[in-house]
Amino acid sequence: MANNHLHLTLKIWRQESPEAKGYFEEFKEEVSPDASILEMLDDLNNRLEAEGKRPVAFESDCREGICGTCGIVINGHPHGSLPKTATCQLHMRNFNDGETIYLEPFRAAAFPIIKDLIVDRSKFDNIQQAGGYVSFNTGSAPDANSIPISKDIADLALDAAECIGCGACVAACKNSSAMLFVSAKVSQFAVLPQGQPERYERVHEMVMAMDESGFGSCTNTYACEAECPKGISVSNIARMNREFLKAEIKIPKLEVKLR
Amino acid sequence: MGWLTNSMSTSIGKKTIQAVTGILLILFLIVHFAGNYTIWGGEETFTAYVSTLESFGWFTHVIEILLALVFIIHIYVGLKLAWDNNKAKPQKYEVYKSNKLIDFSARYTWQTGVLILIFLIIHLLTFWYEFKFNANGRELYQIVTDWFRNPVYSLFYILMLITVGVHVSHGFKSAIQTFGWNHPKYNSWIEKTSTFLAWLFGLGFSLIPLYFYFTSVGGK
Amino acid sequence: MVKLESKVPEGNLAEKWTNHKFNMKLINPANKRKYDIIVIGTGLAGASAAATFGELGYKVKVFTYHDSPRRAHSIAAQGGINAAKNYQNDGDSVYRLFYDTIKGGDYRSREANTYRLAEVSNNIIDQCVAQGVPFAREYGGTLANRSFGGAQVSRTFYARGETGQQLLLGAYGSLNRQIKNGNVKIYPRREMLDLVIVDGRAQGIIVRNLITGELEKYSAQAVVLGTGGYSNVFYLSTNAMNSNATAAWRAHKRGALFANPCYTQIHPTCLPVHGELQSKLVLMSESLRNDGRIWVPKKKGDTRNPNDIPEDERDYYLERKYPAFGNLVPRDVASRNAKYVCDEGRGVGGGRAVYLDFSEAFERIGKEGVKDKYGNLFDMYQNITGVDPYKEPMQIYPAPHYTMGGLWVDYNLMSNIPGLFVIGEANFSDHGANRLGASALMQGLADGYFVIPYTIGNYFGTEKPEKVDTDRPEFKAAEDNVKDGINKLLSINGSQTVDSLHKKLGQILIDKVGMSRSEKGLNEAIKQIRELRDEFWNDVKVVGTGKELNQTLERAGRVADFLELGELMAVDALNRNESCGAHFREEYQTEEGEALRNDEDYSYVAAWEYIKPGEWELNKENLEFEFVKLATRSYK
Repeated sequence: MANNHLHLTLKIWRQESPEAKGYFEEFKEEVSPDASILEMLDDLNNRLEAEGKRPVAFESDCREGICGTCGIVINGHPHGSLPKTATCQLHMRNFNDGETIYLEPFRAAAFPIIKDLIVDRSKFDNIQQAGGYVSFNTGSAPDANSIPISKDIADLALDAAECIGCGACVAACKNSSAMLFVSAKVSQFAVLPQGQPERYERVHEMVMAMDESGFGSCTNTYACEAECPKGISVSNIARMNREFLKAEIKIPKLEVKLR
Repeated sequence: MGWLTNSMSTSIGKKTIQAVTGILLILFLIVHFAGNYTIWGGEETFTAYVSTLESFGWFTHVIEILLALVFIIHIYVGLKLAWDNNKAKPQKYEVYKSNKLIDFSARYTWQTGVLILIFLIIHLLTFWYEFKFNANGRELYQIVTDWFRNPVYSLFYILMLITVGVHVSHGFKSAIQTFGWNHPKYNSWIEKTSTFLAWLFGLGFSLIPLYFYFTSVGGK
Repeated sequence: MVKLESKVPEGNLAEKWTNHKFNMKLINPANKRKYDIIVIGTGLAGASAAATFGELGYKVKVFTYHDSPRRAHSIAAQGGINAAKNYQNDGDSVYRLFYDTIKGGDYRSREANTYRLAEVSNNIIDQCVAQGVPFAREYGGTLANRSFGGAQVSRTFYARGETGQQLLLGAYGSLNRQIKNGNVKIYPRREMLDLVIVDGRAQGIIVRNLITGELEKYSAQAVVLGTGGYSNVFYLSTNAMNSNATAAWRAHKRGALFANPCYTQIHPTCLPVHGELQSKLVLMSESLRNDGRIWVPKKKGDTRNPNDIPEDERDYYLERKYPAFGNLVPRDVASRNAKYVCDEGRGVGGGRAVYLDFSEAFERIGKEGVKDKYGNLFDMYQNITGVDPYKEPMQIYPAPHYTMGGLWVDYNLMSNIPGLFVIGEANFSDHGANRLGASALMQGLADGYFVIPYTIGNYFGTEKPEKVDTDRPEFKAAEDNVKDGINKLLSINGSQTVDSLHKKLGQILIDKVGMSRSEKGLNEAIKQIRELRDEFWNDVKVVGTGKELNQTLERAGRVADFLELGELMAVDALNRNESCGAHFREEYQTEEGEALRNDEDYSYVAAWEYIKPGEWELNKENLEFEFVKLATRSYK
């Protein structure tokens, strides 16, 4: 396998701190096509460390595409151009020998850069804290089968619930809109019976939190869906719009904080 | 009504305003289109149509004012959204691609909108304003056909009408998405309607300047 | 010597927990808000515990080294979660789940804990469904189940291949609700680096803010560790990149006993190592063994394409050795045998992989049939390896996956340090020497939702710990201790990177403290790990400073702890002169090569007390089986 190594030029975004000015640094890398792109960066970092240089800061954890920690814009695509694949699952055999690869952080005003390729996505947590749950105290649940849910509805809810919260939708959107992320959680609970009691308060609160966080609005380019590593559908955005409008029309006590 | 203005100031609220005003403007364009096509009946038919509109008196003015209001809201909210969205992505990518062939219309909605705004102003100045305040006894038919003899004006006009078509092709389906009315069962119809409206406005309106330009060239 | 009291309540097995709940002290609602609790980790155990504490009215501080609680590695669990609901009417019961678990653990777990786990399993499913976790459903709207290894009933609840994700997001939602209510405060991007003990009780922690590098001190009346397992000690494992033992290990160095460290589970169906750059191993669901046949070439170092190797030159070794269970033998047996054939040089191309072949299944149910059942796994395989598994047999190899060992806890999940509780994979309690599939999620949520919320109240009610100030000298001392450690790491400035040293440790452990262990190998391992530890402290290179985001420094601290823990694993394995569950000592096997347990001498929990680096004292908690009769596992 050693003879078919790829020889690549990497242009990686380097930025010491949130305030520092960023720049692209160029590296030459030789790598096996069986390695993942993050393993290539591990190797690069190992070399930089051995030389006493500052390694490239990037985040990853499970490396199985489920935790949502990783996220690099690779040649203009969040998580790279391979559909439904997170950065950690992108293998080098998808690149060509001699290629130049640009690695940039997710860019959005709501995702400030912490260092190099690491961004701060805590705004996502703020949105979930605003209402992304069913209010239910431990211990008071009825028997699990006392709430029958049709298979179609359960599947629909799970389709939405598969969101890994990586932020690629925001990164891909020219407006840095978080609508796909927010709508996934809103949809999960809007279709499930367990979500009904708080259905309208939830969508209202989550949209308010989203607006306060500095994300842009959706202009229906659907770039988010195309780059989402879990293939979350934009039909969730439509559902959230509908839920939100219903909430605003129907529910008297919702408060709106003006931006 | 405080709740309404508050709700409409949210991101989804603003999108809703765009969708509602956009749909109203599409309806207006359809009426406008139907009216324009009386021109194929010749000068007399067209002038009769114009006089009918005139004969409504104050009612026409009310409609005009409402229409202007819808335009202004659509333009203001559209620019505000564009401004906010630009702020949400202060730093652009060095390389930016997408897995989806995002149609031009979706990507450049506000830009086509601004072009249409410029067109709207010129359109009003050359036809509406000239007919109302600078007619010198000419009928609208005369003014229109005079202008369309000018190749530069006609070309500009056609390009702008295509822009309108592009803008609407995104606008219609986008409005449906904003209302949350789309559904896998009907999505293909929404898509088709969008395309139809784009052709209707882009090509349909353009036939008029094309016809008058070429007949005038041929006539002389 | 520490006196180990299991605090298992009296009475019949089925009544112990009920009685205990009645006998425990309660804290009235108005007083609960006077108690601060620190929770480390936001996986299934940590998040569910913190959320439930918040619901009860306690004041909770939650810490995670991730950017968000939702990233914890529980999220990667694929298969499912067990519960004794008996929805399939196939004869399941709490007792059967208990019995399967204790038998699967090769009779090395505490009977009463395991029973309680089975007992609360049903409440977990109820709770998760009420939270809106979208479990798989039948067409009639009821919950679906599937079967898993080590059981003859269908009791596993699942959500596609993402059960862990959905359960964690459920707990994350509950946690978020408490954060909004103000009872829970979340501290992300903080790594616990020391435990603070005041007057013999756990009363606080020192954390490093991973963004600024500042050390921060927090106090509370109880500290709960839900920090997961230590499989990453092997360098290559199925654990997430950041999974580590540091929080548990630092607590251990402050006096908490570490129990059964040698019980580490190696999962048989993982993707083999592809090369030098491999950073972690990927698990393929165990369910593949239902239709795949495992084989290796009969000839050593056979480099032919697998499709060119004729049927009579293939060795279906599991089917040959275990005709009754064939390819469906338990995890430890399957893993060990893969190692043996590769040791003989009969692995794929002479290397370390075996074939998992579906050609028989293709003939029987067609490629479409296989695709229906395992399509996503086949896609994943192709994505990672670049090989089409519909055309060529898969290659698999065992990988470290889960650690049954962990900090010692009593029946109340409290360690030997009063006020220090340990939940989930971080403790040792419920799985004995081997864990059954779909039981890890069950244990994490059982501990967090249904056990510790009661037992922590009892601790507060009986011990009445006071609030302490972080200005106390104990905090200062712990902070200085952490600071010294960091400065030492930064000052060595040697020539080897943290990763390269970690790789060396992993190699020693997988070779000698992995699937198969011997006295000779273990002694060598101990010697080599000690040498490697010296090498680390003399020659490691950690770039950057402590006052910034420094991922190299983070890893260096974790590897330093692994270098001590790795030795303890070997020490424990050497002490345990028997084979049980995942712990296989070559000297102790039957004539057929099966694990030979020694109940006479080793029916105890080995709980190690830290004396100084490289020196531990053994404490034993005898396992008493009042209700279960010990028997030998057989899969022939």
